[in-house]
Amino acid sequence: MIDDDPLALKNLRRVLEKDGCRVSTFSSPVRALERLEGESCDLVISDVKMPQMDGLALLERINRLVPGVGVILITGYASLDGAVEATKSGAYHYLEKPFTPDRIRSLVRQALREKALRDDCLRQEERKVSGGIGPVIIGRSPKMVRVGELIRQIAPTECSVLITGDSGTGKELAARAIHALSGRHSGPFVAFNCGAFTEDLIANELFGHEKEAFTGATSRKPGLLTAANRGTLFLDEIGDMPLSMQIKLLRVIQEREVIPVGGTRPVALDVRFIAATAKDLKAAVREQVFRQDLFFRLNVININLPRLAERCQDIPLLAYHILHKCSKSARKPIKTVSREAMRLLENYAFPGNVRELENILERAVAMCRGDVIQTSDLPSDLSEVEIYSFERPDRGHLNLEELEKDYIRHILQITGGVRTRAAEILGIDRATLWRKMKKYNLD
Amino acid sequence: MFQRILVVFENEEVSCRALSYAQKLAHRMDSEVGLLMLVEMAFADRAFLGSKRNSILRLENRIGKALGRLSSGFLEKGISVSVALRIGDPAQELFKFLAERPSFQAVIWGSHETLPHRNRPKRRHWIEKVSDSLECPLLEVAAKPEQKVPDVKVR
Repeated sequence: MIDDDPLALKNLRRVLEKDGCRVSTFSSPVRALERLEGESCDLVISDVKMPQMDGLALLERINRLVPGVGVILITGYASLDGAVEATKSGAYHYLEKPFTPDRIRSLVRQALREKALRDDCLRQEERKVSGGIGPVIIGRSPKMVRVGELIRQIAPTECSVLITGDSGTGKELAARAIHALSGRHSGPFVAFNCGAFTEDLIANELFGHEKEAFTGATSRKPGLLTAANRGTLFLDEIGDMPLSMQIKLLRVIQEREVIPVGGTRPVALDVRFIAATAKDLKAAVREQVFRQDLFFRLNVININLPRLAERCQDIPLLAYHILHKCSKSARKPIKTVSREAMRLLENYAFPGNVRELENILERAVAMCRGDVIQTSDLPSDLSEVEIYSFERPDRGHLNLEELEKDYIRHILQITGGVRTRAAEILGIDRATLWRKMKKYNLD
Repeated sequence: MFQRILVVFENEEVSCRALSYAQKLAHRMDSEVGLLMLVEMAFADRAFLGSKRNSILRLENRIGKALGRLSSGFLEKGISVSVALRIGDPAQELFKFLAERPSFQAVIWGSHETLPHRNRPKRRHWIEKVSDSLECPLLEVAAKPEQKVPDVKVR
């Protein structure tokens, strides 16, 4: 805290220390800069008019010395020009005197929260670069914390995983995280989009073909299933796979072997399957456009990724993470997002989810002239319109029958179909298990 | 991939704001756009169109031209666009339309700025009722309070 008025320093210090902050006060900006060189801090609060150094000049020096530290400038002679200049130079806020203790407390809390988010992003980025922990699932909302825990829990197992969630929620990223945390991390991760090809092309891409299997097949081509051997195959948009292909895929998953198109000899496979879809596969099974047996094979573990609108508290953290990534690749020294711009982002519905946020910030980085993303750098529709998204019923909840069916199927899989052992685990007798298997068609 | 956005209009009513938002969203997400005009008309017996035949022809002619004008705005911005007109029960026609095509990633309601009967559950608009059954989010575009402008007829 820097101010040439000792009384103002004393009062401010008392207000912030009551809030749990550790405060160092300086009446000379030069002394404060000397201290900043040797010791880190999270936030600087400085008066603008000081005899030794102007607040704006101090701000510039701080930005060069310790980039990333927020600066709140306080002035008794507030003007619009001054506020604009301060914000352009990267000040976190330009506060006019007189102000209430609550006002400064809330500003400081907000600035510290944002700094913590930015630091968190940087730490994750550094860990990623140095440690090779794979993709990072960003989010502190309860739903994303649960997703992160589930990924860590199931990654080391060999179970097939079905990742569900709307377009742009990060299904491939989650799949990559599972692969990176699994025992197969040194093996290949092969991604394939089932919705982008016709049936013949899917067969050719997945299974490969033998030489002269069809006109134009001049050489043998191994398929993606073989390419993913000892690794993970990620089948995106599995709900769009044609029915006739589904039975072939089911056979591969069951038998753990593949016969290339035009071939006769099966090739053994050691692949973990992760599938993803934005569709309601249970409804597709009911409508008989998706095979129930394939659904059960893939849906051993289900991870549902929430829409960005359902976890809007993660928007600042994601925004800083994306900003850091984009500014690095664009080689622009953009430090942060202004509070107004962040408010706009937080209030937008993001129908395109994280991918849309990424696109918006990528454009903003390209448009930004200073080192802070302003509202003018964001697309105009964010400030012009309000988007209401009609809530769809939460399809993640199972009714009791569905839950029972899923659990029995899971236990039967674990026990390799040994009913005596399954009945023991389930705490029911074999006759009851048999009845339930018949009821749910689990043979 | 966020590949396809559908904008649904009802009875020739077009919200410029929804249209403009669809353009911006499609541009941002590099998506194709479908414009679907649903016109409500009751058919007691499909075998006898009778006097409706002429009015349907006139309707097709008029709305076809209007949809052409709307789509040109997208084409000028380099956004791939397709248009369709369906006449009958709007909810049924919407589902039939969706069933015939690859899935859309978002449906934007393109008619009224705020849906009629909103917050009155007993008289919900048909699009609100079907929103539960859609596979993608249904979005309604409204002006920020200070920027309300009236809807326009495409005629």
